[in-house]
Amino acid sequence: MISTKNLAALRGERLLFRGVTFSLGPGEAMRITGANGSGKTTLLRILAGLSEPEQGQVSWGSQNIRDCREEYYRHLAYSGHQFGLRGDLTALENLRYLLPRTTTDAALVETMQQVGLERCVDLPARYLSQGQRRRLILARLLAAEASCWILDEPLAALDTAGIKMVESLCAEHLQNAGILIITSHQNLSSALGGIAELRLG
Amino acid sequence: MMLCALRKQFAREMLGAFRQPGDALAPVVFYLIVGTLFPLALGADPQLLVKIGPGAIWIAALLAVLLSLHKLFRADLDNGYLDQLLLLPCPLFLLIGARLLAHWLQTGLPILLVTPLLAKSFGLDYNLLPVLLASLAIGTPVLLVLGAINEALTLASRGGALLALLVLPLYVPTLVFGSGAVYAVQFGESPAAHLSLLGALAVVSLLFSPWAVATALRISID
Repeated sequence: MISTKNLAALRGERLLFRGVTFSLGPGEAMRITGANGSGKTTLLRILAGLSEPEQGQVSWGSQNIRDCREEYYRHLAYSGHQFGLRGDLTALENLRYLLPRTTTDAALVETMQQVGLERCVDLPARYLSQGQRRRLILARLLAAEASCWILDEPLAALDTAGIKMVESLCAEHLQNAGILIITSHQNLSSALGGIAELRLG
Repeated sequence: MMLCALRKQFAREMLGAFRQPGDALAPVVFYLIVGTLFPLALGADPQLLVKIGPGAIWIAALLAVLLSLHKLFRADLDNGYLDQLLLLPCPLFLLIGARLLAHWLQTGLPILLVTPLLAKSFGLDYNLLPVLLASLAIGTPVLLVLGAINEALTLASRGGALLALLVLPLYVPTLVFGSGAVYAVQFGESPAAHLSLLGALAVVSLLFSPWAVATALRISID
């Protein structure tokens, strides 16, 4: 379970948000909305422990995430604006090195087929399009077997089929008692329609 | 899982270097160039060359390591991998250690391998070679990890000049003891004092730098 208490963040001198308090248990999801610059990405980075909040705290279970980073990160998959791909390594190698646990290449190739990247396995990542990079990150989400997904604009640059895939993956993740925190400017389909919304700004 | 994460971190850095050999070998090529330009510029005075040789070789090695530092984190900061590195379920200082080891194998080790060539171009006596190699073997890791701390600290400010200014004073003791060890042998004395001081520097900096780099990275990424 992930919960926050009274989170506040500043950018420079400007207050982005304050008093953000919520709690999400297994199978629950939340969508964060707000205009550009309202602090959605900042909030997600705070939730992932990459940034420190000005005030308040984020907890995993009953512990502050700062005190249980390894335990928290075992369950967390975060995907930000940037993909963390190294251009001179192939798609498969990038996927392999983004996953901390032991993996077999055969299993990873199978996951890449699932997200429609079967033709890009041995292609250096610099030749992948934006949408294909997104799909590779989806493959990482699938292979990471994490219970808490934090996704920053996962639909950006994806085609219609890709968007459908993200939605069904997220729905499946929730059915498997996963936690999902997502930002998106596009409306999500009815498969995910009922999720809670947090509006910033 | 922890060992696997460390192994993968090391493998990723090494594989990346093999994919971009030109990039990975730039520091050692720079080292060779600086080292061969000295004798050309100073003219054919064998005694002078022998005298300045150890110092010049050490300065060239120091600058080569300094030149290689920007590769440590910058590219991975730009492509977002550093975020993912911080989110791995493994103590960050160990991951940093694996990364620094890979980086030394790409920079420090090639420098050691071509050092006999430079010693030859300065006309240094063969009996100086063991102490020159020993001092560089102990000294280059120190230069690398001290530079890594500064690189991690200045990552957010993107100041290349700032890095050089901050790191150069820290490099002075390593340079003094490293070249001092070689000069001691040249003057017929024992290099033990210099080498043990250099060794002490190495022990302290290698033990503490992964923590320092990890902390600096978390601050810079924030």
